[in-house]
Amino acid sequence: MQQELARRAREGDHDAFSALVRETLGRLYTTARLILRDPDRAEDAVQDALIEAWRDIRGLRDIDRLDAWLNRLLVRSCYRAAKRERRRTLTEIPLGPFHDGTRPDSVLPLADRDEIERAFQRLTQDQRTVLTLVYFADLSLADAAVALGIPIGTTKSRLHNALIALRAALAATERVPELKGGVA
Amino acid sequence: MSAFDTMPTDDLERRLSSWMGGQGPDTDLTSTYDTIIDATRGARQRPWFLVRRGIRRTTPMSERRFATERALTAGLAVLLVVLAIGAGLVIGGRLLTSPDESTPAPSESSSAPTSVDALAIENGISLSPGQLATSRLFQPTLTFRPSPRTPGESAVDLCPSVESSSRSLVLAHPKGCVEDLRFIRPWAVDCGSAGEHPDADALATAILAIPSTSGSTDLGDLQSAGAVPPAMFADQYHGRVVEMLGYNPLFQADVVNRDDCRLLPEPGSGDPVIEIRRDLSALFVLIDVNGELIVIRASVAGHDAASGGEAQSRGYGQGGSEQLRHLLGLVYDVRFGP
Repeated sequence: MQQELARRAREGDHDAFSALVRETLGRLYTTARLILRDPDRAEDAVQDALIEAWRDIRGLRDIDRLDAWLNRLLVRSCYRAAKRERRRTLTEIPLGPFHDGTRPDSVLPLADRDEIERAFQRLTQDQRTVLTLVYFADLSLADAAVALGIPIGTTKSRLHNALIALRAALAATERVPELKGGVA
Repeated sequence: MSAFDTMPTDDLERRLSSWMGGQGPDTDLTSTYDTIIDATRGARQRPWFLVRRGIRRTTPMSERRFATERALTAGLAVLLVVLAIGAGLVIGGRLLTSPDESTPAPSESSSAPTSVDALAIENGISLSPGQLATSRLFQPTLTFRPSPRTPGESAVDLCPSVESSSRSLVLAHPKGCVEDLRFIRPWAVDCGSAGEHPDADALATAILAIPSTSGSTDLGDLQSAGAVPPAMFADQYHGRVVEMLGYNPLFQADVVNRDDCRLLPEPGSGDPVIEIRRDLSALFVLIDVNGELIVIRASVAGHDAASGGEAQSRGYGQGGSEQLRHLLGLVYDVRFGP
């Protein structure tokens, strides 16, 4: 369905592009929010990416790579947004809770979910990006490599390192209550 | 040792997948959707041969078919160069006719480009970095080139929608399209001792006389080091540059004409009154062009709405000097015609 919309959009059909945006906007926004950790910047990033998608969709030869291509535009847009934000202000990026109950709860227990969330927020943008592409956007390693604009071998090692970092962050997250408990 | 230290990777991945599976949009995206659709409706799509280069760069180099594609593209480029040289030899100088409006103007032309060569930004056409652009409405005629969003990038840092009239041209920054770089030809000025029709020096003096909590800064004339980006103007002009840094907490949305300094629009034109006030950050480039004052204002959004409340609802930023300079650099090679 999305491929058909993309094919028509590539031929200049703006209505098809509008339908494609409607179908992909939520998922792309959530991807951007996971990467950037900030809802406002995520909205800006997804907006830029989809405007760029309309302008450049004639260059998308292989419609089956639509997902990877859109994610590539989004990732680039996220990095630009992060760069602009660094240039623009030195204020802290808000680390608001991700989960607001608008989607069904995952099967994880609440405490476990919070730990994963806190640990994820401690990762670098590169690490969050590769984990988001693979575990949220559900891209294959090859498509994640396209989205990141790096070779597949580098993607594999970046994913491996991100998982190690996540494990370390989880361990640190768990130790904080342990320490607090010891003092009390 | 914690439980996570010994957690098998599969388990970690399962937990991560499970947590991510619960993520979803946490906000109403209707306005984002509307913005995207508005910005793309009527906007031109780039032809495939201009886009492909960007796609190939993003693809893992190990894939053989892309190597083949590179070779084909290189061959095509060589063929085009040969054809161009041949055509040049045959036709000689006759190629130097007026270019088609859809053809990007050369950025390094030694002769001064005219607005005839330029794309009118009111046409809703997406601009590329370095492309010669003009306004159909603003007077005096001006041309400029958009800067790339970041060096080497093919996107520009301008919102697709443009507001223009014979006295006002607003180039908005994509960050919410609230901050802007604005060309203003005031119908009259109401600012301290400046008089109704001041020149650049007189208005600069009046602005600098506004008491400011953080201090207005006289950055000197256009030729002063660092006053404006080096490539901002394509011609020599006389002008002055003044920076005024305001602070958000002090912004008084309900106070109109706070510092008794305004650029007045032509009555009935629909252009906004532009207030120059100490609680809003702005960078003013004041130029004398053909005996008239032109104000180029880089601002994080001014009090240029029908009411203070409306101005506040439009948003205003806390941009520092660096952000104002970024806005000033959204375009370059600015040139005013007769």
